[in-house]
Amino acid sequence: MTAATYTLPDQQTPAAEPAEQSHQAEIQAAPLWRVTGSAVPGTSHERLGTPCQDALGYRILGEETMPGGALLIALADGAGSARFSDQGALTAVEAALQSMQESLEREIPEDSEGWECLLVECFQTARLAVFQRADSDGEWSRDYASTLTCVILTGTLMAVGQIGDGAVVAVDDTGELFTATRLQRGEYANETHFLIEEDALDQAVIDVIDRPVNAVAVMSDGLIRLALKMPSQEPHAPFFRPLFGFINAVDDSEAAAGQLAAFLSSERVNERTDDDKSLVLAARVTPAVREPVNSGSEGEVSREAGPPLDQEGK
Amino acid sequence: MESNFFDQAEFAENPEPRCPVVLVLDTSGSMAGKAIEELNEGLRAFGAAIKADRLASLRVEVAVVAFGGKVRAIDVRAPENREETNEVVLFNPMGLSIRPKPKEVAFDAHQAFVTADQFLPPVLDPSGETPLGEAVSRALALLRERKEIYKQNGLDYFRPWIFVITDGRPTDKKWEAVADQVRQEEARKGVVFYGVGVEGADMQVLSRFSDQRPPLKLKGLAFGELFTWLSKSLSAIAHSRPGEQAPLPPVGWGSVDTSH
Repeated sequence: MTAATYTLPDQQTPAAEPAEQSHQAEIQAAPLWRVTGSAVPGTSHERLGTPCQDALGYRILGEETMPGGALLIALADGAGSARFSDQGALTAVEAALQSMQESLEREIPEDSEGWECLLVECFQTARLAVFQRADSDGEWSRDYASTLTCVILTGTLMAVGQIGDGAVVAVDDTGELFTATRLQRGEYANETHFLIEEDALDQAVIDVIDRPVNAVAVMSDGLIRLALKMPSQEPHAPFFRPLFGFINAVDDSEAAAGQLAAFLSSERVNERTDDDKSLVLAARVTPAVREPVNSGSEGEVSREAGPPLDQEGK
Repeated sequence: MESNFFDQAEFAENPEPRCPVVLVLDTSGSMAGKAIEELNEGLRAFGAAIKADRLASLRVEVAVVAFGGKVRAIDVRAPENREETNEVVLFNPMGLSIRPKPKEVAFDAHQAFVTADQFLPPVLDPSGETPLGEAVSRALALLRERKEIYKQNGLDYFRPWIFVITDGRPTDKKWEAVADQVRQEEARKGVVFYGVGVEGADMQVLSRFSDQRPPLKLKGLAFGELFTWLSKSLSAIAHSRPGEQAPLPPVGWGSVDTSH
């Protein structure tokens, strides 16, 4: 059970922090986001005695970094039989968050291309960090293989990058529910791409969604068959609506992480998947609202609306 | 209050990814007697074992191609899944038992494969020569067709297996060309080929079908162990996740033949 859990920059935990059991973001007086996350081992791992190989983390950057602040999320799924993939996943997540934060503190990108470059650099940095970790442990980098999914949300856009088979599902300012990633699959169900691969950066899929996002879910592939309709990868609204309802009602991020962990470990979920499961849920405290432009016109994407957002702004 | 949210979360209904295997089984005359009995018992044990793993029983798909004289695709679907036809009854020369002829099915990937939870182990009867080349060729074609069906229906799938058991040497000429095809398909990572030789098998012939792994020699008639191993191996693959070298159980039932 691992995560890099981070508070606002001036209370940052050191990068070398050993794995923690809980997840929290301390919410200041005027929080911009409600966030929680949890990673739990799959039943197959309990059988084989391997640790949870998923890792996740998030950071909230305040107004001093950029107007409207920013939410950074990283999630990594360790390769099944790679001996140290749990450590590889954790290293990737920590390095990715650090890279995204430092990039934003240096300079805020002005256009989509700028955001894409920021994410490319984030993947490069994370990849290098994993290699360095393997090196200093005296092991092969392939034993630290993991996927990596990175998300940045600002007041006006969402930037998403992925190597591997996680998923990012979001609700925008018109209430539309959509999947922001494409799963990377080989021909076979048990094939995907990993960060340590030579051509990983060529395989990275990076996208900038140029409108405000009010809620987001980031997950590893253990949950995908429960959460998305395959093969189209459309979000299954009856899965997300209650979960976004949950995050909208969260006061105490740490308690919320525990409740989320209990859900992910429940029998109901384990009947459908024996894989590790990890999920980050986030909702903007004060959602942006915009009327959809093409309301009622033909070919309209079905507006699977998110839950009514809590306007009380605690 | 929070637990109510989680209780309300409904899961998407998605079909399971498929793990297809074609069992290519020698039913030539030389298999008569104890060998075919043990093989049939092994198939029965295989069916029971794979059904016991819930996830594997929904993911593994089985087809059986039997070769003895002719090459036949055997109908392995449970009776409720096929039309009722009159059973053809065979008397063996000793008049000691009545064994219904196993139902055949067309070489059609829609009919030949069944998910393991619906698998009906066939009772095979031996006769004739050993058209191994034709049998493996049919198996390759069935798998190619099955992959197309998966793609058309948006189903995920694992790398398919061809699992051959033979006790002799092929009597058809085309086997060499077919062996080349299998090696090429393995090189493309399109299939996994396992060859198992029973006492009397031509192991050199079997070794020509794969560069990835040498053929295995069955210890005596340990079909029961072989099929238990097969069931566990397919289960491991059905459960495997990206980047996982699904660890296969050790081969206690046979020995690796490296003499060729």
